[in-house]
Amino acid sequence: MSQVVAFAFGLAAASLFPVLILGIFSKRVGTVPAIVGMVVGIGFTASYIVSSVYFGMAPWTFGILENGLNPQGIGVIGMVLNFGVTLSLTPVFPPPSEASQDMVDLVREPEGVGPATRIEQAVDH
Amino acid sequence: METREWTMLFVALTFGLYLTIAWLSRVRDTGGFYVAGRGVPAMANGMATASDWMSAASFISMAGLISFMGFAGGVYLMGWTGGYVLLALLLAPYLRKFGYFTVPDFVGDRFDSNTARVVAVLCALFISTVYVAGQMRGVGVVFSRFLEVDINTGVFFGMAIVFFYATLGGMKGITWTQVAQYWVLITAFLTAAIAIGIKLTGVPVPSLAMGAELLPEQSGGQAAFLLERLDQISVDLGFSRYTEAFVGSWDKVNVFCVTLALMCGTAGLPHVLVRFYTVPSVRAARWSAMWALFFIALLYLTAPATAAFARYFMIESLNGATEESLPEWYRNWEQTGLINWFDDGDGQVLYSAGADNEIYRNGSVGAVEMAEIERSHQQWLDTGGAEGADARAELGARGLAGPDQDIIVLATPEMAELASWIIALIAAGGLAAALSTASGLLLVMSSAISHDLYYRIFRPAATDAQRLLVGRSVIAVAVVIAGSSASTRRAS
Repeated sequence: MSQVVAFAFGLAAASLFPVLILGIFSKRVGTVPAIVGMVVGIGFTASYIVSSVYFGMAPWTFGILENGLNPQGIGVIGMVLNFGVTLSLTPVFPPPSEASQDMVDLVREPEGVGPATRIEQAVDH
Repeated sequence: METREWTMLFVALTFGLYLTIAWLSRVRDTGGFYVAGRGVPAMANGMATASDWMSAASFISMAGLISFMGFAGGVYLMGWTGGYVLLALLLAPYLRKFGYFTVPDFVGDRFDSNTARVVAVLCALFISTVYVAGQMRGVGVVFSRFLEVDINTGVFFGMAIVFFYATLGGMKGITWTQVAQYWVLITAFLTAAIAIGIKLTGVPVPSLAMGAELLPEQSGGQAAFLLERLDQISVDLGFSRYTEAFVGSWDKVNVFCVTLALMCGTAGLPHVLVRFYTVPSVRAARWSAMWALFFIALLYLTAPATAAFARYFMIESLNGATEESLPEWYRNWEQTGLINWFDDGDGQVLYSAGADNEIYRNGSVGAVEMAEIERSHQQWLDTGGAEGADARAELGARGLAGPDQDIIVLATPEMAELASWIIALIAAGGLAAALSTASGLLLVMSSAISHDLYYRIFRPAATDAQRLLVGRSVIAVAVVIAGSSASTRRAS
């Protein structure tokens, strides 16, 4: 039972985790890279799990691993792919709209406090 | 009272409690249905997150896995707790500040695209379905053993309860029921672990008992530490040393990758993330992640001890037993097909890592095929190997050596011959764990469809009442799909 549940974690790590992290910590990542990243991440992870659990595929060794990668851990590779694809496509596609960028600023502000003072506009001290 | 009556009593009492809470906290608007009106205090949310999180996999199956994997089982302990640090630092406060209802909401608005929203909805649905399928098996295992009902009846009974409080109370009902379920499951897990720890070593703290010396009557007179003795008997039977690190396919790379996948997965699971939308403020979101980790750690720090106790009792009580002296727990669990003994002709049980092992499980082998294998094995025994076939070779080739891991936590109190009310309490705890997670997942599936698809994309003009109706119907459909997939999985 735990193995089935562990697959769900791999899928979550490869699809939603990178898009949430990049959505919060980058104002540059746009729509298309994020979508492609999610699809690549979850698609890769799901197909590795399905082919090794149901079709008896031997675990991948990447030429360096002695025992091959357990399907419960493949979510990590899916996650790296997701981050990689999203970040490498980002410069090619336009940044998100003004509204989205403002939203990111708002999300980052501490609660009950206004935006941080811009240092160039601060009073002399 | 017998174990069965105690189980009936505990299950009836706890289910009555859950339904009362669901009725008292029923809701009439979408804010209450999706995010409990954002009025849940941090500590209560931590508790609800803990039981939302600790599924049947944590409660029933994890200690069993550690019991069979030894050191490598630590990946689940590290992965499923470490993820909360990521959540508290990187995600929970920001998503709460954003302040909508669901995870796809964030993705859709941040990336300013309905396509992104739909992709996130599909990811959330896919993840939740994989997860909920595992929970239904947990409910099935508990019911099939303790209530001695047909497994399909058990699954549908459980689904009916989940349906009632998930639709009636929405997030508000689920939250407060999960708080109650946390107490049921943690009491059950700790009571059993403490009782076994005292019985084996006289130490009342399970984690310390694991490292303590066995009582003289448990170790046959010689002084020995529990883990030392466990290592010794494991090696004698051909298993690797119980405390050995990085054995077989669980090398450092795999331990690292699985742990990291579980940690990042924890931080990306929709049903956990949505819990942080239910608290009143950003500060409370951070604190509730801390509380969740605290409440989860109570169980997770005890699980390795339960695993070691179970391993010890299982090997000690099985090996050398004869048809007449087989332990009672074996008799009880044999009926579920999760453990099965095939003798090699000497009349004595031997559970080992080699080809002479006599303990197997049915796995996915159907009842008809299993009866045929058993008949042919009996013939093989009677004719001294001239006719029929050795079931051990047959099942060994299918990778079905050893008992099913899922019985460990449920069977350990029976192995240690604890009082019947403790055995019954474990059953109620297992059900609480499975139902709390199933209801949390159902709500995520429901809000993904009724809020993100129906309201945000297809019918932005929909009223609160219409959205609630869609939300509740989605839960109904999801319950039926999950319930029937669990029973067909079992039958196939």
